[in-house]
Amino acid sequence: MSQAFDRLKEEFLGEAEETLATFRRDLQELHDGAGSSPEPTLVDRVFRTAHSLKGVLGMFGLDDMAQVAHAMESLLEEIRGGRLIPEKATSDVLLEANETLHLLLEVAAGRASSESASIGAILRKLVEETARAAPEAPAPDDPLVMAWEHLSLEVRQKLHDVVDAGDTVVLVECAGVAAEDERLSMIQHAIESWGVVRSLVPGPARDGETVARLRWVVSGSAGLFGLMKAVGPHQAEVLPCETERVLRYFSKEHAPSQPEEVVSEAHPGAASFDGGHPEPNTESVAPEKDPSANASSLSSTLRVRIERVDRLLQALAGILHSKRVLENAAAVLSEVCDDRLAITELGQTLRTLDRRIRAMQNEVLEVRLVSLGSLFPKLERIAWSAAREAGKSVKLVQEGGAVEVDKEIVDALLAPLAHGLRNAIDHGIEDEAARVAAGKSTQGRVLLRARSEGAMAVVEICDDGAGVDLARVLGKGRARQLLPLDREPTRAEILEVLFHPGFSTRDEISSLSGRGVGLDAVRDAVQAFGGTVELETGPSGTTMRLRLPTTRAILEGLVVHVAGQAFVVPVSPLVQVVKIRASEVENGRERGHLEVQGEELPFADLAEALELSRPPESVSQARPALIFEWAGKRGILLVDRVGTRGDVVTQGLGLATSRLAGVVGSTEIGEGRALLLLDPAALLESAIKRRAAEVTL
Amino acid sequence: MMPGAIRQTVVTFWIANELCALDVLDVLEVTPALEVTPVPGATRNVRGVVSWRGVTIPVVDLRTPSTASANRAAPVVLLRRPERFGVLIDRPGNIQRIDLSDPPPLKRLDSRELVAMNFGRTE
Repeated sequence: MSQAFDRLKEEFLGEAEETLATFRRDLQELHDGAGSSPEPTLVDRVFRTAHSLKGVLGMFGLDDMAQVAHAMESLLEEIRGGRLIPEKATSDVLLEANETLHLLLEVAAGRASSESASIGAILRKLVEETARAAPEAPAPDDPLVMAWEHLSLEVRQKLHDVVDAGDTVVLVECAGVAAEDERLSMIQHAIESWGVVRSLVPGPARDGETVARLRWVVSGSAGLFGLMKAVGPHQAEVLPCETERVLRYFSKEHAPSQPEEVVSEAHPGAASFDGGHPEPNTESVAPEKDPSANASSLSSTLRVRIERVDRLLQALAGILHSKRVLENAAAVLSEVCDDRLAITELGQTLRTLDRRIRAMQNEVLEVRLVSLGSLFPKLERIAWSAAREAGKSVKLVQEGGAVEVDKEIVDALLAPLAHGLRNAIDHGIEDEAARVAAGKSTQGRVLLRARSEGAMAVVEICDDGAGVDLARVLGKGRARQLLPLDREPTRAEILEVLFHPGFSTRDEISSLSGRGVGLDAVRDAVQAFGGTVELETGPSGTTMRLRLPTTRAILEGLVVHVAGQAFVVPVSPLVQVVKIRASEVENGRERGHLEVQGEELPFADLAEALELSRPPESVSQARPALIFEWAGKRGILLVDRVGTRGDVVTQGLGLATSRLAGVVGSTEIGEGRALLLLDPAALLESAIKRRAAEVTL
Repeated sequence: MMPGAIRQTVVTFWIANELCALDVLDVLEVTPALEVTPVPGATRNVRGVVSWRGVTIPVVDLRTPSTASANRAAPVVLLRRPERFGVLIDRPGNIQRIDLSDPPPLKRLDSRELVAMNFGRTE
């Protein structure tokens, strides 16, 4: 195949995901309005989508997908024609077919193995649904309809057979003839010269006529013109009729046969809906696009691979570096050069350059921003299959898809959000009986909501379930010695237990959740990019709230020195810097806490946290103590000296990845030297854990 | 030259009194001494990171402990593939063509091997 064709196909595969996502949303809308006649424009839209998908899929030789799309189109055609009111079952089958298309697409794109998808089962379901359609009623004045009641069962069956064989059925009418009239036999002869008379039936009398009209039901394989020529001379008229429609309408007892392409053998469980969830591929590098962007805006968007943007950022970092070298040279020059005017001009030009570079950097960083909505289609699919598996009816409502976050963070968010959704559906939403008993609607509601809060984005998953059973968590938490027995723990402490690795309130394990691998994994994933997770729960439902930075590439940092080495800590979680006397630190070491402004706070010596050795005499009279706040907690990092503060472009560590949780990246502050970026929360958390382990030993 | 000789252009350098070589196509640059920022908790052979034209690059150290501890700055051979990283060296050599069919006069390193050798985590 030609390269151009391959490229086209690749492009198509890239876009098909979005097409299917839009398709899914429309089908979901159809699903929500199930049971009544759907909005005509909506039905038109889904029908057209199925139709054009079928065409394009066939063109690219994706025959399995084309078959599914074709079967969907047939079903949608019945809905569009008003012959089928879509029930929940109908839209369920359509959604399932969409899911199958998704799976097949993953296979076609080489992201999934072909065993995961079989189309036999779904094709059968689609055909069964299509067969439920009431055939479109023919016009009541159709000659064949009017004749129908006069036809014997044998004649009716005969008509079916001859039509199936390809014959035409028409009626011939003749007015004003009596049974003994000679014309009758002449017409009969004329008809028989063309085809076969199947029956003779009375026709309706017209106004003022006293004699009944006669009609012949005729079948034949030759052209109608021949018949007209034969009967015309006898003042008889040929009445065409919509034979096929009439026959279909009157033959409900004849179940439509299954199309041949339906694979009849069943693949139990092969469609992979009943097994694990189809994990969307997070490796996908196809850049996301605002899903609301319609076809007309396509020409003004450009698909760029994320690596290109990153190379651009790296190049920019290089330019920044060169600028710093220039600045240093200018500083040296200004001391030896007497031309003050030239020196001033040089300084001004350098400052302008600096401003322009930063403006450009911001632009590039913005290119990396992707709407959170780009995750929604994948989450919809996950929610849909989770609800299906849990046997619950759940409506997923989405808000704030336009909120933009760095691409890297969006990618890292998929797994935690998927987890949250599954939790909400499996644990949060009650089963139908419990909902009815609580006076709620049978359909559960899960809200997926995003919003901006300054430099942070907040994503919430709220369910309208019964809330976390705190008494149960308390009992289980105490049984596992995660909660104190001697006093009543606070609500926050009880909820915190849910984040404990391996904790589950479930006794039985479902494939959705209950394995106790959950909230702790969510928290780990979210903290990895500087975010936090909170839980809120009450009788009207549970909310999981993720707070995340919108970009990870640029942040305001503070340089700190410890054991002769410089590091950068982010300024955003920093509450205050105070000085603490060495004697107080020594006292604090024994208690594991330091008292600052009347508050006892856990602390860590940065040198120890980073396992750096330091000459003992360097502990001076007073040391800077950095008070950080994260996830509602506070703690202190002790350093030797505090340096400058400024915006830093952060980078990963690549191969130099540290086994210490708190060493998260690197940056450069103007000295042509790499500085390591630290995560104070992670450092303090591990210090607290270490301390707790020591105490229990 | 013998028929069938396979010749390759390499960049040579000295590490711990051994002459080493890397395929010139794998090498981005041989830098003058760069200051190394140690990364606490990094794998043993990963010495830390250097800043090269504003980009942070991890560096590995295959030198003997005596030379390695002498100073924090060292010349670096920057590799462009299989991943962008640097190797701290004692001093640069030159660029030369070698015949691969001859017994190797010098220790030829393969960048892929280098990665495989030194980045299998021991902990």
